Amino acid sequence: MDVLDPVVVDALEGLSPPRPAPDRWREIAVAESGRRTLLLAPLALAATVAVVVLAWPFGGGTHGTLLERAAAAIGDGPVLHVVVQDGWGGTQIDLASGARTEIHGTDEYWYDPQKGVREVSSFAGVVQGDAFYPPARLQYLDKTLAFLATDYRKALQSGSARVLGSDTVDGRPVYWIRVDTQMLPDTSDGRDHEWAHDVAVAQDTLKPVATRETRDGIVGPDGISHVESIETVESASLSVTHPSIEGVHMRFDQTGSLTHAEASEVLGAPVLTAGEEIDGLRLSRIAKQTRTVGDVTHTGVSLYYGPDSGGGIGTLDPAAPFLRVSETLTLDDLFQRGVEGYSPPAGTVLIFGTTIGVMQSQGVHIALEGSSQQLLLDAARALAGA
Amino acid sequence: MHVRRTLRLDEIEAAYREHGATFERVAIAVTRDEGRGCDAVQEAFARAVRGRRAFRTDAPLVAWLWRIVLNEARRQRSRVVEDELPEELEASGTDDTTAVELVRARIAELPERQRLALFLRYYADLDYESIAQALDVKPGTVAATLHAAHRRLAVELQEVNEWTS
Repeated sequence: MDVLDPVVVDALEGLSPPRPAPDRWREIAVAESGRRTLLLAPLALAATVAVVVLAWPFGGGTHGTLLERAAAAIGDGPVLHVVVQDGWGGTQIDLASGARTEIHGTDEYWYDPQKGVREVSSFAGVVQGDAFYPPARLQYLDKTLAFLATDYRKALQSGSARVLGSDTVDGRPVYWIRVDTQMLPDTSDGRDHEWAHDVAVAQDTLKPVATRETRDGIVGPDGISHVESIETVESASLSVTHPSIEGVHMRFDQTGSLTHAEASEVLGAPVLTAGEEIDGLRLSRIAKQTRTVGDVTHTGVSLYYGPDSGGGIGTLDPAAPFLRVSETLTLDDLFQRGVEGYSPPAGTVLIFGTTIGVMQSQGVHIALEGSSQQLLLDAARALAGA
Repeated sequence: MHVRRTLRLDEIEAAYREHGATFERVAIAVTRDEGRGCDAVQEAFARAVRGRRAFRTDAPLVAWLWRIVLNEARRQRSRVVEDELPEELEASGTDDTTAVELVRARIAELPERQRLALFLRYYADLDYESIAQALDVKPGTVAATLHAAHRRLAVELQEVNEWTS
């Protein structure tokens, strides 16, 4: 700490005295769901699925109630194994034809009530996250999808689930079953809202085929998530095989101002550029990029078009147009945004949102960040033809 | 569709519990209002939770959170209509104005970058590199900025001492 005059110290202490640790985490933790509903508020008018609690008798008979039969349909093994198509993903664009293909991530869960949940997230077959949650930490699971693993069977068996009614999902007749419902505050308006998780079971097999999250009866912006498979198994390893890099020393630096020749030397291959200018943005700087995870350091280069900083969450002035092209010969956890450890086939670019893209060209992995999707596409085409 | 991120909720919660008091202290200094400062931290973390899938991995988590907190505090500050602010001290002082109060007013008059760097250095005890990441500037800029702030306060302090002596 710098040596400050005692009067300055007193002034700073008086301006903002020491404080106790805040304890309003619960209000924060519901924020993600709050945003989703806010974003989709206009969709309320267009919501096609009316959530109506129906009173007709779905139960009884020689085969048990619908809830009992739905429970039986997933088996009675001790471990529940669920694969769900997630709402996140990217758009793969063919640079020649412009054809677009949506690619979704998947979440896979193994739930052993005695031991906990293992969650593996994948994209295009590449593991993106692998985490284990012991029973005491299950509240940290993103419940949007995980409820199917952790709460569905319990709700069916306990009778707390409710049959909402019939519907059609992807042309398939289903019954919607409400698994849980909670009144939770939304930080955006400070009010309590009813959050609920529903499962659609096929009317013929009674196996889950879709899930959704609703607030006040309105389906969230992720829409309906598709269940790829659900089954119970006798046992499963809950050991994480792709441990998180949380807690591992990480460092990311972009330094210097390189010539093209120096950049190629740093990269270990001819540096690819989108030209000296693209969409009115001049190539302003080529920096050396070093990424360290643990004891391993990777190098690459970053080409800045427009200002040599800016863009991305948290920067102070993200408004100015910009393009950053990062290049490396080796993929690691710090190189890409949107996805980790995956480059789409050459001749395509994979876009996440509107400002992030990944691609490869001539054996070089490329990460793009730009102020617009058009800028990303123009850059991708230039880099692919470079 | 969402942008994928690697942050888990418990990582953000851990940062909130470990650094929450410091975040609030800096936010209060920026907004010059306890309620707005606490609200800024609350909203900043809500934004972090909402944006956790888009976490950029080229910056440490805490630095990312600092940026969001500072941005939100600045936003809260800018939204305040001047006449709603707590009474500001007149830089010229009055007979019964203490030196500490005058210096506090001088701190409020520092250029924004100097003021933010000073707060992050003093309240959060961040090193130059961490401040640089939080403010999205180079570490050398932080050193120069803090030096300028200290020099300016020293000059002001000298004037204050002359005024109050």
